[in-house]
This record gives sequence, structure tokens and C-alpha cells, in this order.
Amino acid sequence: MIDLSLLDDFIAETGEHLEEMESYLLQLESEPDNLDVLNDIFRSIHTIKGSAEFVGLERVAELSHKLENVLDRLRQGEKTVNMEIVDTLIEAKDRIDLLVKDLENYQKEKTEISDLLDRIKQVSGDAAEQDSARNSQESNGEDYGEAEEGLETTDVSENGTQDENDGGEDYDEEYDKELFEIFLEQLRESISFIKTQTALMEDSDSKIDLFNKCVDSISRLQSSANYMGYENLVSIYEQWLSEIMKVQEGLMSGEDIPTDFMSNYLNKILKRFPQIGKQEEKSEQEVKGEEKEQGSESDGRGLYDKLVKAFDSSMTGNHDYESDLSEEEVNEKLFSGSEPGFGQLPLIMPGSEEDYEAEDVEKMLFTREESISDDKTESGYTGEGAEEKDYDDEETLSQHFDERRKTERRKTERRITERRKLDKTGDRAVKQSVRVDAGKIDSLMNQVGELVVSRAFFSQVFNEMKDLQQHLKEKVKLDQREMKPVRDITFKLAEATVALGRVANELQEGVMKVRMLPISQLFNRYPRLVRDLVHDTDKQVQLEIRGEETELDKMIIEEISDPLIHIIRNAIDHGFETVNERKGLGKSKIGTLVLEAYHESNHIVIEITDDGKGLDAELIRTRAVEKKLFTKEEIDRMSEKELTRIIMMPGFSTAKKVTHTSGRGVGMDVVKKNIEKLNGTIEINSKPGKQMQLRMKIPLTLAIIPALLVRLGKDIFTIPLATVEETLRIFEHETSTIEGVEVIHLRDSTMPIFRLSELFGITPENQDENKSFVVIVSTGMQKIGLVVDELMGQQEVVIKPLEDYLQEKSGFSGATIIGDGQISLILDVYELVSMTAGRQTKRQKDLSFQRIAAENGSDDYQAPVTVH
Amino acid sequence: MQENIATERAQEFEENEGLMQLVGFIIGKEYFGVDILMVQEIIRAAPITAVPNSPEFVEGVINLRGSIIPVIELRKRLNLFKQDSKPEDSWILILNIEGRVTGFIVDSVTEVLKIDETTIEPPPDIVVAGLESQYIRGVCKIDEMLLILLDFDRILLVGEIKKLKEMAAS
Repeated sequence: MIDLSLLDDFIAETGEHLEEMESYLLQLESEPDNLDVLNDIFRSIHTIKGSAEFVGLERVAELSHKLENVLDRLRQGEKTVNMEIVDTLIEAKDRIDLLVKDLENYQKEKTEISDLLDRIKQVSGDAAEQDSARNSQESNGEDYGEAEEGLETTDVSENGTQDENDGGEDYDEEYDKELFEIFLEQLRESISFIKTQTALMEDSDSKIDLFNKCVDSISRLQSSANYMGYENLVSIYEQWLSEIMKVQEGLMSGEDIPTDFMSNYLNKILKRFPQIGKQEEKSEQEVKGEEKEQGSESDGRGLYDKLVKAFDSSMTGNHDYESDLSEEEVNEKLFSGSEPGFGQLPLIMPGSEEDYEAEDVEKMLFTREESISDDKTESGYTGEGAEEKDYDDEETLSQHFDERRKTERRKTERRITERRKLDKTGDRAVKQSVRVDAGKIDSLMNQVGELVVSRAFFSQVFNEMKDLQQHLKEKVKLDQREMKPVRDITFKLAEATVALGRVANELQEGVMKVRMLPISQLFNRYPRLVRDLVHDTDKQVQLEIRGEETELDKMIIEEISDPLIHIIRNAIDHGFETVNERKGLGKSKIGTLVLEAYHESNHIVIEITDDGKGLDAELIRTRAVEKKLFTKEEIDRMSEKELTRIIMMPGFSTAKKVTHTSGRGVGMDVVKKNIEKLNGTIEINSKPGKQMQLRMKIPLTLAIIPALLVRLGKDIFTIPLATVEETLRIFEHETSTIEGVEVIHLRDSTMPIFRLSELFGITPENQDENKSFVVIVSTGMQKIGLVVDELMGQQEVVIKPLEDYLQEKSGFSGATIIGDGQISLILDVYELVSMTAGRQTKRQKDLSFQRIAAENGSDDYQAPVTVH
Repeated sequence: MQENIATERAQEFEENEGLMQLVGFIIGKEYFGVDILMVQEIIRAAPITAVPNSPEFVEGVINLRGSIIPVIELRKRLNLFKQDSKPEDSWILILNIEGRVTGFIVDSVTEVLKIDETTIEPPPDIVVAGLESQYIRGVCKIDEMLLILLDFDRILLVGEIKKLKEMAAS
């Protein structure tokens, strides 16, 4: 049965563990002897197993259990890490990944695992046969392992009929180590409690009361045994309880019945869990202090019994005469009362020989506290216990017990889950992170966006105020005294604007940081990819990751994940030479692929560099003509830089045939589309024979971008700053027309320019006909100049989507609201470039139709190319 | 969503004994109506920012408390009689059409009308007020005037808008 309420958490958590595991597995591959890595993998898979069992996922649990077995053999040195094992482990990890995906999509496990289980069996060398033996060995080296050996042969002689079928039940941590520890803890407490009660019974008049207390403990133990799934243990407890009930009846009717059957049962349980005895011996020193305080009441019983008494004295003592105290007081009492005992805890004594860890201490503290609450309930029951005397009828009595057992079971279960949670949060304390619904952050981001708009509005109001001040001074000619209040207000407004700006900036940065994640999250996925791609080829590639701590928006991380995969594939498939080729070229045998990320103003730059053969310009030329993407003439006129653009075109590939990794000409097209979607740019630098570099420049976040505001006619348009290269002011005579396209000469090159007013059908409002402003925008591959009426300045803008029918093919990627509430459309530079290119070709065709020779163009001008 | 509206409407009918509530508006001389449940709000003409390269009937976008909403000039969309109305006189009817919040420019808005649903007749075959019948859901007579119930789902058929846009572009 799958617990759906826990599924989401399970999926998220397991996803993280799997990612972690993958990187460890890859590390293991390169360092097969690294025991730490092995342990890390073990931990990941163990946690996955634990939570899978908790949620009720059989396949994940089974698979991870088997993996654990293999890993343990490796850890024990019984087997050595080899390629086959690592491959199997990786495959198993992938399978778990698939199962988790199933859960995400269908809420149940669909993927088959039986084939993999067989493989694991093979790899680990008939581990499955030795499974049960392994279980005991598995716990070897952990605290109470050795005690469990030979458990199966333990003969519980007292009650042969009951124990015949008991052999198969392993009371070990198979279920879950944490749970098992909790179980043991409880068992130990209860057993010693019952022991004390039994000891008191000998010369007590209120045997029934004491029995009742025992019944409580036992039924609690029963329910936890039931929870753990130890059926035989449950039946022992049942027997025990029914015997106690019989005795109680007997006592009520005045018979004097010997109570030694209690210790029989206790022994029976203790035999099953020898580690309890051992642990109690361990805790001997802890309670010594208390023991002394208590004085020696023990009448010549063994040290063991003394111990038990001492251990429980605080509990029994409490409910004997302190049950009226509030919980707080009890706590206080207990803590101060057991001071000596606590004082001996090694946590407080650094350098102590016993190697307790903080966790253990925490557990102990926890136990103490819990025992208080137990005690409280018990004292409550004692009162009820008195009433129970009136239950003449056996049935009523057992009903009563049943009810109590049920509530107890629920309680125990809840307590166990609570404790699990506590332990988990304890583990995480180091990282201290909160999982928040992304939607909440988005809406917060929206609000911050509004604040950014208000801030811009404030600046604008301030500017208007300044203008007004100027106006009053010069036109209205107010004198100095009259001007003073005006100046004061202007000054105050300036101060308020600055203050608001500061807060808004910090808030914006803060909220943005919340969404930021280190890019290592993304980069860490790729070692595996590289490994898989290089596998079975005659290439050797080493991946180098730099700047993985660079942070960027989680949304963007997701968006660039696919492009990076394509780029890496391309590099390995096309870029790198085989080992022999590299030898022949005098390059090092192993190719290096560098993934690097760093910040550049408000953008993140991701560079993927390989030292392979670079782009083959000739091959691109031939292929482009073959695929009829361009005419021979066009291709011949293209510069190297323009050629690099061709590889981004859909359907273009230099691969001679389609392989499983590449050749369909989709990859780079995907890269381009995705990066465009993010308002980013992409650049290719190729050094033939030496290197190939892809450089992506992406804004840090999607919601708010820095932008340049420009005016066209009466409207204000926004150009994402990421695409802006520079701005110029040009005079009419500086432009010339080549093949029907206006160009300017900028430094050593010519650059086509486009009048946005023409493109958008807006009447320009230029103050000076002769001069105009040009914004040079770049898509990384192509640069064009956009002629605008006026530059309005730089501002952070919040991107808001346009209705789809307005946005499509319009040249706009969205809209934003600027200071005064006016809407400004955000230019989609990529689309503009392709739109203008379309116009160019159209115009060119018109021109060539009119037989205007193309040769008229100046020599250094490269014909613009249709990209789409 | 539509079911919801339907049930809501059904309840409305029960409460109002089969009455349908409409918001009436006027373009030129013609009287139109739209189901009140579609109307999100009615605002006075707001500054409209034109969107270049958009279909002719899209007047632009407005800023409605931080959201950017397209505004359609209903007169142009329906190819109604050309007549220059002064923009400051006009109203913008903000409708929620299957989740798309869109503004429609109308000349003026009248009061809320309650109409017995049985009096609504299917659109006549002949052209009413120069309006193609595909955009009409029905007509009904009120005080000697013909009220035209517009089918806004049809008017804002996105596929059609996109096609119109492509036609204009080529």
C-alpha cells in the first residue's frame, strides 16, 4: 500500500539522494578504493530504502536492499570494485530513477526490476543465497551486531510449542535501522520497568496495581512489536498478557499465586534480544551515580538487577510522589535529580573514552523525556487500575485492555514517526534549508516587481518635481523665500526616493537570491553524461568544471539543462578526435572539455570549451550547399563567423550519417531556441584544429531584467540590455545603401541598420532630421543597428507576457509597465533580426529582379543571410 | 468551467424565474448585450498602447492594475459601420472569455437588463445591422429596439485572430 500523502516528499527527497549517489558512483569509478565514497553511496541508498519502505514502495525498497547487499560486500572487502559492478550500480540507480518517475506520473511503480535483480545477484556473486546470513553480517560493526549471531539457534526452552516456528524471525535492523533502534530502546526501558515491578511484587500487598503497570508496558511492547512486524514476539506478549490476567483474577479471588512466571517471560524476551542486556551493562557507568544515591536496596540480587532498579528509580520515583507536578516541574526535577547521571555523559566531557556521538546523547535525552511522559500516562492508569478491581466480568476487562492496546498502538506509531522526523531534521540542521513551493516565490517576485515599478514612478515624480521647481524659479519668478518650501519638498522627495530605492533594491536582490541556486546543481549532471557518451568509443575525454558555485535562477537552470546536453554531445561526437588521431596530431591523449560559469554584470556566462578539432569550415560549406540551405555563391561570400551561424540552423548537421547521439540537425537548433527564450545570446568561437568554444550569456533571472528604454514617436520601447552592444549617434551622411539595405560603417566593418519606426509603422518624431540614434544589438551571432528617435536611459523592468496572439511573430517578447503606469513593449531582438533578414532577402530579390547588379556593393560587406 | 457557468446560470434562472441578466451597450446606433457573468468590469477609456504588427482591430494593450490586457476595437472587429467616435467618450468593457481577460471598446454602456430567456430568438438569416450572423448568439426585442446578443467566444476565436494577423502580414 503506497502512502500517497508522503509520496511528494519521497519523490523530492529521493531525487536529491539519487543525484548525490550518481556523482558518488562516478567518483567511485575513478577511485575504486575510496572507502569514503562507498560509504556515501551506502548512506544514500540506505536512506532511499528506508523511506521507500516507509511509504510502501516495494520495488524501490527491494532494489535498494539488494544494492545495499552488494555495497556491503564491497565495503567489507569481500569483493573489489570493478567496471561491471559500477555499471550495474549505475543502472540500478537509473532504474530507481525510473521508478520514481513512474510514481510522479502514475502514483505507482510500473518499471520492471526483475532483470536487474538477477544481474545484481550475478554481480555480487550469489549474494541472494546468503541473504539471511548477510543480514546478520550486515549489522556487523554496528553497535549490537555480534549479539545477533546465532540468534536463530537460540532455543527458548520454557515454551517449546510457541517457539518452534520462531526460528525464521530475525530481530535485526532489516526493517530500518532507526526504527529498530527506537524499538530496542523502548524494549529496554519496558523490560527493566517490568523487572522492577516484578521485584516489588514479592513483598507487596498491591500486587494487582503492579500487575496493571506491567500490563501497560507489555501491551505497549506488543503494539510496537506488531508495528515492526515481529509476529512471534507479538504472540509471546499476548500469552504473557493473558497469563497475567489469569493471575490477576486469581489474586482478586484471594488466591496467592507465585509471580515467578513473570521472570520466565522476561528471560524469554531477553534471550531474544541479548543486546539489551549488553547495552544495559554499557550504561552501567552512567547510572552509577544514581545508584549510590538510591542506596543499595537490592537484597543480594545480581548487579544486573541493581542496575535495572537504579535505572528505573527515576521513573518509578517520579510517579510515586510527583505525579501532581506539572510537566515542567517534572522535567526540571528529573534533570536536576539525575544530574550526576547526566554529568557522566561523555558529551559534557570531551576526550572521554567512550565514543558517543551527539546523536546518541540526544537520543538519551529524548529517552528521558519520553519516559516522563510514559510515566505520566502510567500514573493516570494507576488510578484507573484501582477501578479495574471492580471489573468482575472477564470480558469487560479484556475489552478494556483491547481498547487500551489500540490507543497504545496508535501512540507508539505516532511517537515513532515523530522521532523519525526529529532525527531527520537533526540531520539536516547542518544545511538548514526550507522547501518552499515555487509558486509562492513567484508571487513574491511579482510583488517585488510591482515595487520596482513604483520605485521607477517615484524617480519620475522626483524629476517632475525638479522641473516644477525650475519652472517656478524661472518662469513664475518666485523669490528665495517663497521658493524655500518648494525646495524643501523637492529635497524630501529626493531623500524618500533614495530610501525607497535602497529598500526596493535590497528586497529585489533578496527575493532573487531565494530563487538562486548554484549552477553545480546542473553541472553535476554532466560527468555522467560525458562518461556515457565516451563509453564504447575510442575517445577519451576528461570533464573539467569551473565556477560551479555561480548562482542563477532555478527556472533558468532548468531551461539551459537541455541545451547544455546537446552542446556536450556535439563536442564529444564531432569535436573530439579519437585517441589515435590525437596522438597523430601531437595533442594529449585525453581530450579536455571545460564547463565554466561566471558572472558578468547582470548576466551569467556559461562557456563550453573543448580542445578538439573545432569547426570544419569547408565541411559546413559543402553540407550547406548540399542541403540547399544556401547557394554556392552565398556560401562563398560568408565569413567564418557567419559560417558558425549555419550550424544553428534546424536540419543542419555535418555528420555523415545519423548516429544514436547526433546527426539529425536538431541539437543546435534546440540550443538556439532555448537560449533565445531566455533573452540570452550565444556565440561560437572556433579555432580550427585546436578549440571550439560556445559562449552563452543569459540574464540571471527571468522575471526582472535590466533594459534600455528608447523612444519611437510617442511610444517607449524596451530593449533587453543583454542584447545591447553599444549605442551610437549617426548623421545622415554616414549611412549608405548596399543592395537596398541601409548600412553604417562602424570601425572596420559595415553593419546593416533598420529604422524601427518603419518596421513598426510609427511616424518618427526626431528633433534633428540629420541625426539619429542607433542601438547596436547582437544575438551573439549577428549584429544589427536599430534606429530610434531617442535614448531614454536604463532601467530594471519586470517582464509581463502578452496575449499569445499579440506576441507571436510580432517582434516583441512581452511588455512591461514603466514608471507612470505606461506600457512599454519589450523588443524580441532575435525575432527582429530574423524579421529584418526576411525583409532584406525580399528586397534583394526585388532588386536583382530589377537587374541591379549585386556587385555594386563594397567588397568588405558580407551579404546578410536568412537565418530562418 | 462552462458547466460551472451553466449551473450558476441555471440557479440564476430559478432565482429570477427564467430571467437572464445582460449588460447592454451601444455601438453607433445599435444596441448589444452580453451575459453579465462574462463581464469582469467596465472602465472608462484608459491610455492604450498600440502594438505594432498586430491585427487592425486590436487597439493595443492597457495596464489594468498591473496586468497587461489587450483591447479590441469591437467596431473594427465586427466590421461595423465606420464612424469616428471620440475616444474619450468610449468605455472599455473588460470581459473574461474562457480565462482570457480582454477589453472591448464600446461607445456607451446602458443599464443591466433582465430578459426572459424565451424571448431570445436565434440570429436571423439576413444580415442584422451590417453584422455577420456568425458573431450573434441571438436577438430579442426590448421596447421596440432590437437587442443583439453577441457571441464573444466566437469573436475572440484565437485561431481566427492569428489567421487574420498572418493575412495582414503577407
